[in-house]
Amino acid sequence: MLGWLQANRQSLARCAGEVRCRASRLWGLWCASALISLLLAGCEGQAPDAPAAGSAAAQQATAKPAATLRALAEQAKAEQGAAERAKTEQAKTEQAAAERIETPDLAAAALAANCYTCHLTPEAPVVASAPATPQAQAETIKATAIPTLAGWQADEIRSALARYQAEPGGQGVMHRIARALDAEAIDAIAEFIATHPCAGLLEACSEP
Amino acid sequence: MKRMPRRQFVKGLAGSALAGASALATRSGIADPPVSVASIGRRTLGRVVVIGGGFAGATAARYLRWLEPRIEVTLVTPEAEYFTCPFSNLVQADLVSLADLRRDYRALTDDAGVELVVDHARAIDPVAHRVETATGRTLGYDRLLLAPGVAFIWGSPNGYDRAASERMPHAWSAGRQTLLLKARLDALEDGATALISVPRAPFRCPPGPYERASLMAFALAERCPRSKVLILDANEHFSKQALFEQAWAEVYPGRIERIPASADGAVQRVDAATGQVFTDFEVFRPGLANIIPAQRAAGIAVDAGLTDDSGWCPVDPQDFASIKASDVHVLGDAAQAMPMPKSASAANSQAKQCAVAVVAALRGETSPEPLYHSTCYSLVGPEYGVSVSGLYRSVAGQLAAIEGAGGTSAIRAEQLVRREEAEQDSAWYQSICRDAFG
Repeated sequence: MLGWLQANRQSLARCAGEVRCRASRLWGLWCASALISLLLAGCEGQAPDAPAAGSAAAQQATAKPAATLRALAEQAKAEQGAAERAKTEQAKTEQAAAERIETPDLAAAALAANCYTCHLTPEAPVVASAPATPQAQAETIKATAIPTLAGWQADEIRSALARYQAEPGGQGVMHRIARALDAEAIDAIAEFIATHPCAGLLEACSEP
Repeated sequence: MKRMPRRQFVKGLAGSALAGASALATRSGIADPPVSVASIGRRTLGRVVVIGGGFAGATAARYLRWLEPRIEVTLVTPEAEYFTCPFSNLVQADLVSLADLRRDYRALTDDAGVELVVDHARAIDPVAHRVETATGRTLGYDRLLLAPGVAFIWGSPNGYDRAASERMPHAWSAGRQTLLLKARLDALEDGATALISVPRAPFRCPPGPYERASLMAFALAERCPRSKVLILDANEHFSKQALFEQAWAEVYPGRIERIPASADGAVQRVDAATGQVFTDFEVFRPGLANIIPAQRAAGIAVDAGLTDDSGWCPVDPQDFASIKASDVHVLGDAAQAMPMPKSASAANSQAKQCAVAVVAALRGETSPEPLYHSTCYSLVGPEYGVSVSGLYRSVAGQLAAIEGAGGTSAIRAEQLVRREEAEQDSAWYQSICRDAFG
């Protein structure tokens, strides 16, 4: 590194001079960028592409200091540009996300929200007397307990609610609830639940 | 030297800038505004503070964030974890442990982007739209959702205070009291009576005392076959009465006795030192006294002037907005919401409908018609469940049950139906906990 700096001292001095006198603002910036890049690379122990003093490559480099510096400056400028573009892109993405918030329809949410109270998780019972094996538990839950609504199509939800309504003497929990709903409410609930089966939870419900 | 990654540095700057912007935008100008990480890069629609981390508060916080992520939500709750009252009766029968009832707020903060403040909400200033906490923090709000639960009225019955509750546990808030009651039950000698005193309604969880009596009878069945459970009731009728009485006759014949108010069932006084329980005309000396005191809305609601003579908070059934203060909503057990019961299920439903209404209001939209629901399951035994459901609408400024809907389990039903409802009870508990706490 030190050898390379000595080999290129004339070019570097010219560079510094350019910065000082501000004869060319752009050239000064390029040079400053190149210097910073070189110093940082040196500090981090990453050998710059600079050959040792006295080598053939060094002689070649000494012969073309301006070209090397120009290349380094262009690289720095390119990095700066890329960073600016990334920053702009990030701002655009955040803006787009802000505009793209998927807000559930409130009228349908008001109706369907009540379903999630019981239908979010198909987990095993917590009562100690529940069937002992996982398979027995799963069968018990599937057969008798409350199903999760994940994976249900809107038509399936509609049909299920209609079936409960078609049994006027039914006294199960769902019979009692379905009787409160008209066709319009059932439609809204079915569509809403089919598209939002997990009530916004990231990992709440799974396919039954 | 370790360098800060550029992206992290830029993010830090963005966060600081947003925090500053939020502070400037705070209604009060001096309050400490909650700043949600999830709101970075998004336009804030408003700031909602939720007081109370039970079923109503947790549900409201989560649904607000789901329905409208541009709303910043701060949940203020006194503890970092919460023990659910639902299923706490099952601890008495060793069907669950207290640890099974523990919930925390990590999913609300990490997934839903709710700001959590573990602190006691000390005071509300409805005019300045500010909440003060016990540690001196001030939170500004656009809307306040108050779900503080109930407070016990010490001295009702006479002689029953906090100290007496150590000897005669109420176990009407889950946690230490639950274990205290269980220890007393486990220590009961065969032939001794376990007494449950039920206060005059309304109180939290209307079927709770009767489920507790059932599960105490279940717990005592083998170990104390000569013992019985006595319910002294300040009410004439109770939730799911026909179902409970049928089940007691069927499952625990002669083991559970209930004395209603008209038959001198209301407990007037207790003496914790001697363990005596007094009605108007009788004195009882039970082996275990479980005294459930009378209740009202929690102190912060009273102090903020949100209650009326009943001790509960009157609300507009359209969105559970307080009648007493603007931009304040009262949810759950503290609200005066008859005919809805004071249950976790009702609180959960109220919270969702309120969240919908608040989102609509902050967006400047018309709030949709609410539909309230409550289903309360009770266990009579591990494989014997019964339930009651209700659906409610806001009609002419009043909450009204929807005719033809709701009702209880069938009186005449096969054992399989009871078993199914017991399993549904368990599934319901898992689901509502996920719904509320994430």
